[in-house]
Amino acid sequence: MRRALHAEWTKLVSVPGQWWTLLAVTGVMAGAGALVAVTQRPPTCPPGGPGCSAPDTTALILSGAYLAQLAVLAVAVTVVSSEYHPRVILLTLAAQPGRGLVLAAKAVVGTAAVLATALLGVAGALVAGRQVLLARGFTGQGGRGPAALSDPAVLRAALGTVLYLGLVAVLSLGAAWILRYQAAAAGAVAALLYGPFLAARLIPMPDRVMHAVQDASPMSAGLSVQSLVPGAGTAPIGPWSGLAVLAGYAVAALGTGWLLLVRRDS
Amino acid sequence: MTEWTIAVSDLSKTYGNTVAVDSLSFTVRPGTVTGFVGPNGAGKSTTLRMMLGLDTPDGGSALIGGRSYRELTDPLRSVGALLDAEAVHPGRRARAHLLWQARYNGLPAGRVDEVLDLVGLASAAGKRAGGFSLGMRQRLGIAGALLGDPRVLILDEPVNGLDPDGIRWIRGLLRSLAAEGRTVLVSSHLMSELQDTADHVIVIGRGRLLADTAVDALLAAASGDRIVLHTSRRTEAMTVLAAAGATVSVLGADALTVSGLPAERVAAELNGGAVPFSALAPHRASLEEAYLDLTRDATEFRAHGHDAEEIRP
Repeated sequence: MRRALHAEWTKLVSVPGQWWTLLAVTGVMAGAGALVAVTQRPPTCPPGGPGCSAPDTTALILSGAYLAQLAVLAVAVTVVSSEYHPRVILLTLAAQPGRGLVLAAKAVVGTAAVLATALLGVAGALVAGRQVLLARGFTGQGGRGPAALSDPAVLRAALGTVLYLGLVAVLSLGAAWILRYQAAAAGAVAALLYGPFLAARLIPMPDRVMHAVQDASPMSAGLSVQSLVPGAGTAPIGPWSGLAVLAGYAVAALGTGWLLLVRRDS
Repeated sequence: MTEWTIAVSDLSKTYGNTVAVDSLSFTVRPGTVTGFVGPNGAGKSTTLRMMLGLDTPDGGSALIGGRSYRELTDPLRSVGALLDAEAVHPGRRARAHLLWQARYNGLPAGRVDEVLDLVGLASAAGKRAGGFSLGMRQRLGIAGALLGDPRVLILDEPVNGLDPDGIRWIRGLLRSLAAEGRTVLVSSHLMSELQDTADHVIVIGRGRLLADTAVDALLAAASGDRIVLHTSRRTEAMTVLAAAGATVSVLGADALTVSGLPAERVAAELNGGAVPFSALAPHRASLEEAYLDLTRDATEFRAHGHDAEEIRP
């Protein structure tokens, strides 16, 4: 396995653009966190008063994930689709006939690279976003300040966001093993993420249906881990259950990809 | 010690309705260059992919050194293959392309530079493969095949895209690898490419074995008892010889092949008919002729321009 990891790492870093896209994961997370914070103004209504809700500033400064996941998707799909068209996979499976080992090595290397850059990005977003919020007048009086970085809820949201991006990577790897074409795989994952998420927002439907769509949608359910205000997140589902929904999609995709890799002729 | 033969027995593969390989059996031995020849779509590439465990046979087996490819540990150390010179990520540099392959089998990075040097790509090691000519990509593919210093080499159409210098180089390389006792299997759709390289040929057509023979024996059989004759008066010569009971066919603008008559009778008949001629000699068939004789019936797609090797699921 060590050799397979070494080989797949060599592959990942020798495709031009992968470093830049990984860098974009960090940059977009941190940059978006600071930018979103700039647009916020502290509410002027009396805290706790009727119709006065404080914004969930933690979820806001982590909202770079909505965009950064596209860079994650691009990196992870490329890790697999670069084996096809042209068919480098012939050489890979000649060097290592164990299909499961090749798939596992790519999953570990691709996901680890995404987790590392996502961790840097999330840390950057929290630090930069908090500084901007403080400067914008979110002073902490009346429970309106940005939650402290040591707050367990903030840590959960931060760690959850890193895991969310890691799971998007696994989902993308699986889709790419199934579809093999880069554009097809990237399109399918983007549709799966944004499709139900946008449908629940844009299409009028009863709350009951909307909540069911959100709880089953990988992006809405997964991102509920960012919410510090119960019931105000992207889905009614709990934070860890939400991530588990996304993990279900990711594992199903990678498992299907593995079955196809074993069964199909190369 | 392992005897590094390639043993194909009763191998079969069907894609949809197309039978690509049909109960194919043959053995490739160490120490010689074995040509693997057949028209486009004959099933050569499919057979090679099954040897390397890339495609799963519907029946039969292909064993290398007594084991199936998928059972080999660090396979590149035993078997080196070039299947498709285009199988290189265009953005990857030549060195990195070989380096990841080396790492999969625990080969030292220094070996990458050795094989790059061996195939004459040392100066292009840091260049992206996307900018390589087909000839350079062939060399890169051959470098990959040599990476693990393997006992068995399986090369699919390695001559494609090489310039005359490159062709001479690869012929020398293949002969020296075989002389070192390695097992060398080289496929081609052009028999002439193997004329000065292969000692033994396996000819297939429509997925079936047509011949498995030494090159010398194949040439002798194809030459038969024919005689080559050069004359400026071809039509008259044909008339005279046909009247004497010979079978005559046209070989070129001023050349004929004659069978059914010994050389002295041919000369006597031509002299008798006052037909001028020069050079009367036993016909030595080219490998190409021998091959065309063998594959005439098996060339499935010639008229339509299809290439069955492109028919893939």
